[in-house]
Amino acid sequence: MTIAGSFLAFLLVGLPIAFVLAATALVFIAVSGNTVLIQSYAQQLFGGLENYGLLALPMFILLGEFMNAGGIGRRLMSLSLALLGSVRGGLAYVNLIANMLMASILGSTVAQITIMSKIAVPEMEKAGYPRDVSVGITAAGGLLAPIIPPSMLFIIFGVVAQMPIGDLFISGIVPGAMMFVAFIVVIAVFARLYAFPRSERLSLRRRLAALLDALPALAIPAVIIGSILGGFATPTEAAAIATLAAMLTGLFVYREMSVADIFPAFANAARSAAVVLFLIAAAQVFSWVITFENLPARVAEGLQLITASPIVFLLLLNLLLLMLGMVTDPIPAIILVVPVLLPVATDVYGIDPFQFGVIVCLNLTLGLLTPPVGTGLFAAALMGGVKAERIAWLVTPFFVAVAVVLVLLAFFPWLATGLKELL
Amino acid sequence: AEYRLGLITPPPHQWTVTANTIAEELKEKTDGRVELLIFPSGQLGNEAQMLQQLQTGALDFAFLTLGEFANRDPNYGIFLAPYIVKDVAGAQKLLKGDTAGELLDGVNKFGLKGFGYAMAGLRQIVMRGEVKDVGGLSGKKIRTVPFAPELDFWVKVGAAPTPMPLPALYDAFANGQVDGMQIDFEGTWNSKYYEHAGTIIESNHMMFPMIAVGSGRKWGAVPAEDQAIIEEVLKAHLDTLVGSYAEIDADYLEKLKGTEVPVIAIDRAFFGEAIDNWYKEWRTKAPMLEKLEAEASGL
Amino acid sequence: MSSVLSEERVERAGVLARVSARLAAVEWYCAGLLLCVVFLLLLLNVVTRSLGSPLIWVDELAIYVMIWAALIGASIGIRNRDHIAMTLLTDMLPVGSRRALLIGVDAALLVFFAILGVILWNWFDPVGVLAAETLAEFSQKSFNFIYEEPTTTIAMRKVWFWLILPAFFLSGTLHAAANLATRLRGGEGER
Ligand code: NA
Ligand code: NA
Repeated sequence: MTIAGSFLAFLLVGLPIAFVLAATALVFIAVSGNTVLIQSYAQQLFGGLENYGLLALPMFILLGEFMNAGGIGRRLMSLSLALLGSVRGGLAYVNLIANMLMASILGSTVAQITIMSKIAVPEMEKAGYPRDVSVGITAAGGLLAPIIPPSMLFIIFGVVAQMPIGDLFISGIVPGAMMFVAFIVVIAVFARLYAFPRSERLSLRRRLAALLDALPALAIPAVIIGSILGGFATPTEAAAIATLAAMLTGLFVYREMSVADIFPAFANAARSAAVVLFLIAAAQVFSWVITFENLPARVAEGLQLITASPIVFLLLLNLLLLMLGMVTDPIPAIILVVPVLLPVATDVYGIDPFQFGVIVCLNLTLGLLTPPVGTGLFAAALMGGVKAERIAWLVTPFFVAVAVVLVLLAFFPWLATGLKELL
Repeated sequence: AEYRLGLITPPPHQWTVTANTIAEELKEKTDGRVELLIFPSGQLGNEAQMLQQLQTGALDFAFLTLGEFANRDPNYGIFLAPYIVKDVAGAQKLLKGDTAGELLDGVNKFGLKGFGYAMAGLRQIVMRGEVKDVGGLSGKKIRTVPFAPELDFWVKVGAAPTPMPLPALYDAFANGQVDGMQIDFEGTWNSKYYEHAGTIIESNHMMFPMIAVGSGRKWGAVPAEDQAIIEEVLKAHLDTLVGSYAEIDADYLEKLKGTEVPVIAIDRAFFGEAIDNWYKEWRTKAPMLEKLEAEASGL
Repeated sequence: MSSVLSEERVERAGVLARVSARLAAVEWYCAGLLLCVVFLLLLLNVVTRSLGSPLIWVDELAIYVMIWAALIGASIGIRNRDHIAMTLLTDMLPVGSRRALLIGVDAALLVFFAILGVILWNWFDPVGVLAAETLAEFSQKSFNFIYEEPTTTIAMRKVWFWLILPAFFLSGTLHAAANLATRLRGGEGER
């Protein structure tokens, strides 16, 4: 009680969340009487980041910086526009398609929302879309980033669960496509509800020009996939190669950035990555302390008492993850949940670990957009200049769409595992 | 009282299974006085972090592979000597021998209390391409753990040892970032590395031991009566665990032979001079190696 | 984005805040440089492996360099209030009590750093280690192996990399103190 109380108190007065976690861990140690843990505290803070998989995170953020500075995101937006004809709410669909293309390059929702807010929101506002709805759609589109490969979350899940990351990526493709379709349905409803303007149909010539212009940008996902499948690079290294490709494209192909822009991109990426990495470090300390007190294992035992059915277990898991996702970001949540619940899922309920992985990652992604703790939500609010509460409300229909996908995933494991077995 | 045991293997692994059995038996034999909580999959941190927690007394027990010890004292690397034993039965004897015992007591200097050794399956080689002789390994990138004795072995064979985190290995092997790996049959089967293999080499060339240790600081505070029971139960189960690998290795080898991947059996002669060179170098690096060799030749 | 030094903030602040601003500017360069090193190390790994001569120390070094960049960046984050916080409740408060609460939060951060400082002092134990004959003796007696801990693949003791923690403590404390001082002087009413 003291622990939950101090966690909430720290959180509600507005102490930065990383420090909420770090301080609650201290309170936990003091209350539990295991004061000897204090001696390992600093090492655990450092050790929380000693993980090869985490190197991908600053690389993806860096990739985002260069894609933004190099004008790559804008090309993908123009290409999406060229693909679509005259449709009510055309730009909203364009936003979604551009998000899908971005998702095939980026692995991080926050990075994607940051870029897309800069590109898509002003464009939509100019065309007469309400600003808050534009920001909401952009934020929801960001949810595709960690599901369509490559994915930061799958990398971290793979690291924690000790599972092949490439297979996890493949398992995310079908659910990612389902999410995309579900989002199209939501946008169609929005189009009527908010009376979205129609998009104009571009001439064939302008369409071809947009396609040609976007080709170098489209080469970047090809570089990522090619360097991994060609045996040159690990997914982490592929992010570095893609960064190099984006840098060269921005410098020499689109010429939207100059050599002078390179160092600030690194420094700013380091600053943004640091905020996330420090949060992970603090979350690791927190999760280490509560693991030490055997809290997660007790939760698992409780779950086992409730049901023997794998489907009921998965539905309960979804509820638990939704609640957890509200108060934390996905990365700390994965670290918290997977070591405890994955063995329960596979050994007790016979659930496929890839099905479990996709459900966990997809569900926890939602947490990025839920208050009180939602990095994606705050990024969208900051970039779009709209109140976080308003965005949270606007993305609710998209949440329902994802919930439908999640329920389908619970009932039909082959949605996650089928493609992997086919290939 | 509540005690904690940490280890890096996942729940289905034989080490974790044994840890759980030990916990149950301790509870029974001490009438519930000793409650051992098991933390698998590195939940309390990696081996370096667990070692530090043992030293401060936060953690009570752990199963640690030799890496962290060999990293601090090269003598702990001698168990990785290639072909020091020819089979699991040999390993079982050697791990209970005098040299092993001396090194077990030596963990005091790290602030630990040693209980005994166990191990995983004997090391084998799994390659992407076809391999007929040692030339087939030359220049190849072989995934290993970053222990000096193991890296040295591969350098002497003429390959390029490539350390890589285990979760990255499947993809790396499938895509060719590495050409092969040093691993046991259990891992080859369970992680499906054979799916992308061109040759499985039944080499049995190396042991992969682990030491069961306790916190030196905390051990003193355990009541003498419970100390005796804990030591006895741990020793018995560790020995059984080592022995069980004869069957585990055989079972998984059988399974792998059922796949389409050719399995070739080799012995020390296959590697030519590489192994002699390894011994020459490590006799200087790790003075206790000669003692272990003498003991092994008497088995 | 590179304007780590916000002119208006500096004007309203005292010496502490000026030092904090200078430090943040230096940290910005360090963090960028370190991330650049991570990037180059990853590429180096790709190249050397393709050439068939992989370097075994690159991965471990890249991780440590990333951690340095992360903790330096986190320190800048304190000065610039980049760290994500939940302000749902504080936003609803009237100006007066909100200001009091924000001062309290800044003070709480300073308390956290004070505790971290004590933890680090005990861990690095500079007095104890100077008093001991050898590092080995220090480790044996104190069960504190901080100075003996090796890295896995880099021929260096781990403590060299852990030194970023005291650095983080010092810079974080300075930034947190400067933030509190600025707030007390009436600066930064908005956040
Ligand atoms: Na993605
Ligand atoms: Na959330």
